[in-house]
Amino acid sequence: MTVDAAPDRSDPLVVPNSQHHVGLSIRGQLTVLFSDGETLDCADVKGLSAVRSAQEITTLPDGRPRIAVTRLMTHFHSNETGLLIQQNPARPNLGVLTGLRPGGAEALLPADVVFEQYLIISLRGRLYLNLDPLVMEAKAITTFPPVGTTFLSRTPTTFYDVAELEGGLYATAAGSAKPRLALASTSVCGSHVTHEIDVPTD
Amino acid sequence: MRAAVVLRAFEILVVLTFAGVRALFSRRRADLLADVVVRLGPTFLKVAQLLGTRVDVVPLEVCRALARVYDDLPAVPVSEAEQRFPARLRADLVGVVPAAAGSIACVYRGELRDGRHVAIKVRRPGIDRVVARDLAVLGSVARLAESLRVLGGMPVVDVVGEVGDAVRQQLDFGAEAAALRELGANLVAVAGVRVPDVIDEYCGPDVLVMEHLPGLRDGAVSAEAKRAATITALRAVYQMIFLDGLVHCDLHPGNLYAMPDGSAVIVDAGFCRRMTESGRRAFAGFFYRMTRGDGAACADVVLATATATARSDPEGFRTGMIRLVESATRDSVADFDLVPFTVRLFALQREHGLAADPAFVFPILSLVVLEGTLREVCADVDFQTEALPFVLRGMMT
Ligand SMILES: Nc1ncnc2c1ncn2[C@@H]1O[C@H](COP(=O)(O)OP(=O)(O)O)[C@@H](O)[C@H]1O
Ligand SMILES: [Mg+2]
Repeated sequence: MTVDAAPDRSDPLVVPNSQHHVGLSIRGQLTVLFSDGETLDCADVKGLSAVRSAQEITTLPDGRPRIAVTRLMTHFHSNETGLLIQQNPARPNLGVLTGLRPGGAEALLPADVVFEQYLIISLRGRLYLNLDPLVMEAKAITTFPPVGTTFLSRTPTTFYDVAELEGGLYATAAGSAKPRLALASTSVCGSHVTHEIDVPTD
Repeated sequence: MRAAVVLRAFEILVVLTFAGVRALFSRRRADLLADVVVRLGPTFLKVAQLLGTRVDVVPLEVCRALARVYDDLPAVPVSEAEQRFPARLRADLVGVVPAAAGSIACVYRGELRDGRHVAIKVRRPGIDRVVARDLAVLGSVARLAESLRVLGGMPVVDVVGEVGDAVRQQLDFGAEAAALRELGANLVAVAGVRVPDVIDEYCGPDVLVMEHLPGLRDGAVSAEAKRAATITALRAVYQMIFLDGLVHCDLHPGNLYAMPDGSAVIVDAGFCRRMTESGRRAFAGFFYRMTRGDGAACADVVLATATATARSDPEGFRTGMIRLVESATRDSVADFDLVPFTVRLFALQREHGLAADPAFVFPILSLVVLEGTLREVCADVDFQTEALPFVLRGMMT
């Protein structure tokens, strides 16, 4: 394992087969909506995120390179509201990064990137999870991991109380449970890197 | 009754024949349609207005023509109307003037001894018999039209039956009072919406008495106030269809008023429909999945609620639905156009042998009726963003 203090994150060749742990603080809008109409704005969210990209790239019919990205860890919290967001370990959290130009690995950046996330929210003593993925996307990113770029989640995502779902964390269908809150993150931007570890996986 | 029905059928035939001849020479067919409907009298007028909202079965151009049919009839004189007032109301009134006259009822403004102003809605005398007779004629015409397939495969008998029910429902002032009361209570949740209070002690079988809301037709409303009021009305509709389940399906400009302070006044609960709890939640779920661009999940919701006919084709429907939702969400959310989307949604169900669930028809009707006003006053309104808080809460409750 090598630890590189300052990898060149704008080099597309760092994308394949790499693993990044990033600490960030988030700027933007993260709002929790409750069934009674209450909304909770979480302005002071910070935390850690880790991603690993696949070794193999695939090529789209139009020649652009694409690579799968797995999110290994998500851990964000807001001290003011007590909100804690983690990744649901029971489900894969996958993303894809697609280069904008045709080519091989050297064309992986700039890219469009989409993550489908399954999360666990801990709030006010209860745990909630989403059954529909929380989709976050960023267009034309020029660095990887894309710290500093704005991620958009087009629409809010509903969350269920884990205790009300058959199968708990492993549930994949709502059954008779109703969603208990919704997370709307219209624009989220990891504003700065607090630390970063780049770990090539071979 | 029978002789009356036959005579009436003959009269209708004469009016239609003349109109048909004029239509051959006229380019303004839409105006002509409105004219014919007015000539045919109150039942046809109401039927036409209601049909004009049925984008699920009536072509959009025809709906737009029918939306221009307004009932503006002479009022029943005060002296005649007063005879129908309950004794208690008559005793407490110190003055009455006509305020509005529709095909089924007239509205008067009254002043009570204690100084309060009331709106008194009185059913036109004999209107129940006229409506019963005309609906009988219309029912026969519908059966004939369906058996001759003059309107293609349109389920004429069902549609005329549903619209007839809605007209009949407008004769039931007890139900209207109850609906108005409930709407008023529900819409307290939406800031800036007012629904007149019902004054129970003065109501009678033919008479609905409400607090009088002044200045509805004063006209001096700024463009900003109109815009604010219209967006408020849209939120009120979202509150009804996603959260409350009691839906005012008739929010045309005669029943929805923008006030100078930007608030919205809603009157006339004569055409309200109640969604079932499961229907309401299914509808909210559909909308949520649509905004996420998940056409397959939308198709699941519709397939679980619609009634399959003999020639239903769920797989074809699913494919069409995925394509429809994709095309609707590909562009920016703000460009989403509700009415064409709805028209396609209903057409898709028909093409694949599915009959839309009322859980979907009525909420969409109420949005479609409001759409004319929205288009005129705030064409840039973002339907989906405005809807989302209501949709999400609708799923959670
Ligand atoms: N509470 C009220 N206060 C003031 N005006 C009213 C009130 N209720 C009705 N009106 C006026 O009377 C008109 C007709 O009443 P409405 O209930 O809509 O009857 P209709 O069923 O014939 O359409 C409305 O368009 C409105 O202008
Ligand atoms: Mg009215």
